[in-house]
Amino acid sequence: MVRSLAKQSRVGIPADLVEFFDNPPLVGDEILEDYKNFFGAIVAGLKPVDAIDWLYIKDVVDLSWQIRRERFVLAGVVKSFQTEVVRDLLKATADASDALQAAVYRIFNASNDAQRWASDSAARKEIDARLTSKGHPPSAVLAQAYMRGAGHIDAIDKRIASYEVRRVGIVREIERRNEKLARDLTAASSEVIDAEFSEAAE
Amino acid sequence: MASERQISANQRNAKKSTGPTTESGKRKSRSNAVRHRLAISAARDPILRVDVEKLAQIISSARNEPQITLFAQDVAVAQIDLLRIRNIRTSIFEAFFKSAQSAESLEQLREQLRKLDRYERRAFSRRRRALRVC
Repeated sequence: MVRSLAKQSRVGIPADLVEFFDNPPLVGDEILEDYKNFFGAIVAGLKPVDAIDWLYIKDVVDLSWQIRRERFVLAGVVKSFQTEVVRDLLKATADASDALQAAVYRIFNASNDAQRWASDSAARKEIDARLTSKGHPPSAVLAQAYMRGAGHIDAIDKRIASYEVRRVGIVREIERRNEKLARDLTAASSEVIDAEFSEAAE
Repeated sequence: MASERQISANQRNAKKSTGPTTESGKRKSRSNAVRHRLAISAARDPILRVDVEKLAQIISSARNEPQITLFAQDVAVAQIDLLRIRNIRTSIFEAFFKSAQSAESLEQLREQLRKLDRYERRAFSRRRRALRVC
């Protein structure tokens, strides 16, 4: 699929700059419409005066999009380690009164249950309750997942932090030229990312 | 210092390694050091140079300069480099999302992004310096 911002009139990119903005940094199942809305939400109400302001805005939008993507990757990584911990706990806490059944469960069913825990909210509640009754509440599962994935989680956190620093740096550069634009851009980009994640969490 | 015997042995050995001989081998070895071309400035790339000129013209016009200034040129080069880096980052993530997203692919992602980050930092710095004067 050819992804283009060329027909994007809402954002109001100057015609001579469109070709430089015409390659949205989208990957996997990221949707052009989402990127357009994201761009539109950040740019709404801003008053860039010239091409340089627009270059800065594009940077802030792309860095914010990158932060959003990394947060999704982070959520996926945490979930994957949680699933691993759940699987191991299910194996470790299998009913020991029937040795044969416990062995069958450990070999054949624990992984399936862990997958159900990851994908089905009803199954998740039931398995959480089961593990809580055996001394492993969801908070403990999450803590173990963070410990297991510490290296990867830390790397993603650092990347997010470096994009944030870069975004702040760009806003400072804008401040030197256009104080109001910098103020509005800071507020808009943070609000848009935070709002997206609060909505996703609800 | 090498002895006469060592020198002649070195010369004999050097004659044995004459590099690739076939046309495809020579072509391949020419690009051995080229992975993403980010070490080469956009200004030196004949295809990207067209974009650099266009963008420099836009930036100069924004500054009410009738002709392309050196500063606009520097900003444009850095900006085109930033866009190239962004495209490469996109393809790195594309590969990651298509992979099994295992611990190894996370590690590979981390390493590739770390290398890319160095180029991005430099490009941002170059643009910032240019824009301070611009």
